[in-house]
Amino acid sequence: MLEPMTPPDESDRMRELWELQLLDTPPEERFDRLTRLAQRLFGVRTALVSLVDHDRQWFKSRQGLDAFQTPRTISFCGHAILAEGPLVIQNALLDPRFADNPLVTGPLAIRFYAGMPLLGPKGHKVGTLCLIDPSPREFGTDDVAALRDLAALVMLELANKELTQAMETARESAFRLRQITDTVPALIAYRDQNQRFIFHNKAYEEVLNMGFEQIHGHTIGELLSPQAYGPVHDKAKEVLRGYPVRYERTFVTQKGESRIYDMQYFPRYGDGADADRVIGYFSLGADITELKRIDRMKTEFISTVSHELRTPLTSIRGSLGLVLGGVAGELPEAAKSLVDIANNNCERLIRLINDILDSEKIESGHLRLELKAVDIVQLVRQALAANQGFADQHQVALVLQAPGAPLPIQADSDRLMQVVTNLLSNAVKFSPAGGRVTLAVSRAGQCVRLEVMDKGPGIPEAFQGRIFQKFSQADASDTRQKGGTGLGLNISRALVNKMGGQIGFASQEGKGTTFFCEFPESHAPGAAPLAAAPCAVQPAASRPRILHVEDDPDIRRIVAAMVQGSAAFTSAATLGEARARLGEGRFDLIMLDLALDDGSGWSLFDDIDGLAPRPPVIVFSASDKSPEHASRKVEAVLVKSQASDGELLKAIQSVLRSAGHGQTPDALQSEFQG
Amino acid sequence: MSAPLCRILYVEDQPDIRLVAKMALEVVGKFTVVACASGQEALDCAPHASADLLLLDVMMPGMDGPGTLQALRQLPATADTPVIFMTAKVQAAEVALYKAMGALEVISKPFDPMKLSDQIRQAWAARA
Repeated sequence: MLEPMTPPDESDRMRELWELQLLDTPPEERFDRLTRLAQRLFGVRTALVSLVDHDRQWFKSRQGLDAFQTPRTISFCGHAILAEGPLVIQNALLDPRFADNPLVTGPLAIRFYAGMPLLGPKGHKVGTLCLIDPSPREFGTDDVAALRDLAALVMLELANKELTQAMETARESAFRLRQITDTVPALIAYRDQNQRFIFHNKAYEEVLNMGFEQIHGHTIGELLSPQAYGPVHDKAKEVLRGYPVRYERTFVTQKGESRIYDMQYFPRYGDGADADRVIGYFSLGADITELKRIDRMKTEFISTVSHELRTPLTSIRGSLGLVLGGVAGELPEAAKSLVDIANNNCERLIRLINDILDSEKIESGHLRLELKAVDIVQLVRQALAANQGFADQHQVALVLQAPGAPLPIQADSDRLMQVVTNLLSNAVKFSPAGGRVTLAVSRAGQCVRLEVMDKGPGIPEAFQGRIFQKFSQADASDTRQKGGTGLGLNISRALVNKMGGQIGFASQEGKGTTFFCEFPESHAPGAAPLAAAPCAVQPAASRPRILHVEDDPDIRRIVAAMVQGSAAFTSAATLGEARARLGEGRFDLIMLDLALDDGSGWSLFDDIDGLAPRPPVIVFSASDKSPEHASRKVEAVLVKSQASDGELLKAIQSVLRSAGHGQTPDALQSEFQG
Repeated sequence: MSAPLCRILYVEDQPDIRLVAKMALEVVGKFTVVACASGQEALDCAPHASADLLLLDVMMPGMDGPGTLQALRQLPATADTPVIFMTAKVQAAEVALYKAMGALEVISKPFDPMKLSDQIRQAWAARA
């Protein structure tokens, strides 16, 4: 076997080959289509673009050959680049240079070879376009000419350096991107609209415990168990609809360790005609296991501290409360005022702890709201009643302006009550004695607006920007004087925002302040939208309290509207609810339906008769024929289909009047006579 | 239908709180209170206490409130006696849990001693 000689221009040839920057690059279609063409045109098994490197020949493009390189010493091309024209070996077995070449004697069994040297732009022979076949064959002048033409096309591509460089740059940036994404401790992937992984980083392979090939090109559904895939599927569907998605997901690592990831999906929109279409999504996952652990520790700490503080406070508050309540005997005036101080400050400490806990819950996102349709009108009435005592202490009158019909909003009633109470107590605290605080509810466009107005000193302008900040109070001495915690408004704002509302205020120094909240009106089924018509009402404390036990919501609403503004109206749909209401407070009148979902209204009489003072009862039901009528004390009986609104009102008036609510009938009269 | 509430079996490990609450319930509420310092003591007292209501602190060393309730439920005398929990850890999830265990009410500490009895009476009256 004859090893190929080194050409005289070898060092320049090598430099030119290097400058082409083609060695060890991925296959490119621009070369592959030419070798495919050559393979087909000449009907040979193998066609190659072979680049002759220092000690090997490396194939930039190959058809019909698995090897991507062979040693230069046994190469045919090493010989081909020594001559100007093509090197044609019709039968290698008959050529002493190649007859014992392992490529001839070995499994490749080369018999035919034709190689046309490829010249680089500077004229050095960097390789060949060559044809190989296991059968000997003739190669005529026409064949040589065709091979020469094809080789010329290959040389054009070799010279196309810009393209080569652009490819190189793209490769480099792809490499850099891969390096970066593989180094970052986060899950990074891009999936197409069929949820196939188009790109994923190494972290994905680690967390899924799979190799590149197992993930690449596969859908997430193929990779996960059906249980694990369920929630992911929903998120993927959502992001493909164009919504960014964020959720937490737990992966179990190879070592059996659970890691929590904060997963985010971002939709990717197409270009041009697809500009409005989601064509895939990026997925980003951050390991938040440690954060979660620390967060849990913080929550546990706060919860423990709060419990540890509450335990001694329970004894202190209990003892002071009992002493002040006279349980331990009458106190001398001086002692009583001291115990009062201790008690007030104890109460404040408790409020402070509660507020700090709330504040922590809000900040940590642990606050869970139970949003459902709440009638804000009824809620503010309750808030007003609940704060009446506090207002009385400060000699401030509470005035309600509310429409007669329910105004439903989506809210957590306990938390909304907390907000209204906070605004009311602030307004009361900053009102002068003898002043008035107005609580108004109205419809404002698509929203329901709640206002708390006081005629206090107003908020100094310099302070207005900080009013919702934590522990901010206009006058440091206010903390002591007013007994606030400095957290109330901060918490209120967070709660209102969480319920989808807005909170704000308007204040004029010396004139007063109005805090307002606006919530989107909820159009829950059954909540009839009615025009808002504020009406003057009597202070809650002096109005008679009516409990209406009735399972039909429409009748409840009608009766509520009839007595609205003149009576404090509470309704119950079931016997159970009625008993709960009776347990919560005193009523001046009970209106009772008989056929209720959980039993007969008559059974409520056992509870009513046990009350002191026993409230009068009006039975307002579908029938007046019942043996129970005789045995029970009933102040009036009205039949639903027969009694007019006027008769019902008259009955309410007369029963209340005889029970000693002299003022009420007139109020009812004046409102409902027309 | 609502039998009056008279006797309360009360379990609280903190002696100060136990004293204050017992006094509040007896003097203000006019209840008869059998006060126990631990879950075990409650189990010993329960058969003879003829309690109408169980009032249990949640956080106690050894057997906690829910644990005590479970054990009391095994005794014929307290197999279905209504229960109210008292806790200083008032978290919504916890309240829901105790309610799910059948508690009539969950009273948060610190409680108002003058209103405690009313609070319990209301829960008693409201039970379905």
